[in-house]
Amino acid sequence: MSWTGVADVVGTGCMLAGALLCLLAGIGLLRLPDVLSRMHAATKPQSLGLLLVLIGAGLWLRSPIDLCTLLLVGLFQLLTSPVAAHMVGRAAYRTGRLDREDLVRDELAPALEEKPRSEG
Amino acid sequence: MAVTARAHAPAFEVTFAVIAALLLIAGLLVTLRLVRGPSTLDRAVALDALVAVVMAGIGLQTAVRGNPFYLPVLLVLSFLGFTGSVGVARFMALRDEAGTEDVDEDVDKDEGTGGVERGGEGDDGGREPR
Repeated sequence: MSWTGVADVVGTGCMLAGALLCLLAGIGLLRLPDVLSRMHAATKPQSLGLLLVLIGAGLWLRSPIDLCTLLLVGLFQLLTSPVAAHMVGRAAYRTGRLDREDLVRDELAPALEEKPRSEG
Repeated sequence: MAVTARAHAPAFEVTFAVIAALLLIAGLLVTLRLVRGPSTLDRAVALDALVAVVMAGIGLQTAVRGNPFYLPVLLVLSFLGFTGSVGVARFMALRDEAGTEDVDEDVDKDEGTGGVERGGEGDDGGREPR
């Protein structure tokens, strides 16, 4: 099997794994009980799933310009999705939309007690 | 843009169809969560996941057709995907800072921040705050 054939097979496998992660996120979003645990499910395709699909597409395209564009897409996705998840998780905590009995450790509560409502 | 699908081996065609079907099911499930809800933050999370699924679909069709025409769309989506959820989260945090629980109830009836029991949401609705 030639080099391109191997790249095609590996790329297809990567895209299949990414699509499975997307499906997993859909199931998790429907079945998990609250915002934080749904975020846990929803952020899988945003980082790993999308990166796998981008790697797959890059292995199929195999041209330097397209590879650079795909690299930029992955970079921006890795930059932006943690910011969005941080903001959503923060808003979920502060609006009390979580079950505190489920938390193993809650380090934000004492920090918020020390200086309540000082940072916006 | 004359798009003609490259000829692939039958095994690849089947695998591509399977991937597309998986992405379609994932998109439907995420859309269901987007519709059902119960809070605005759930919808923001679901919207982020939906953008990720759409980006995966665009990446798939780029690979299948061998056509990089839609890669800038992917770039724009990776920029814009997070502005919506950041805006929503910021808005919710601001409302929380203001301490306007009653306004929260007025604006979005099914959020349940005031401990109001929602009916008919099924067994997996958002949890009540303590």
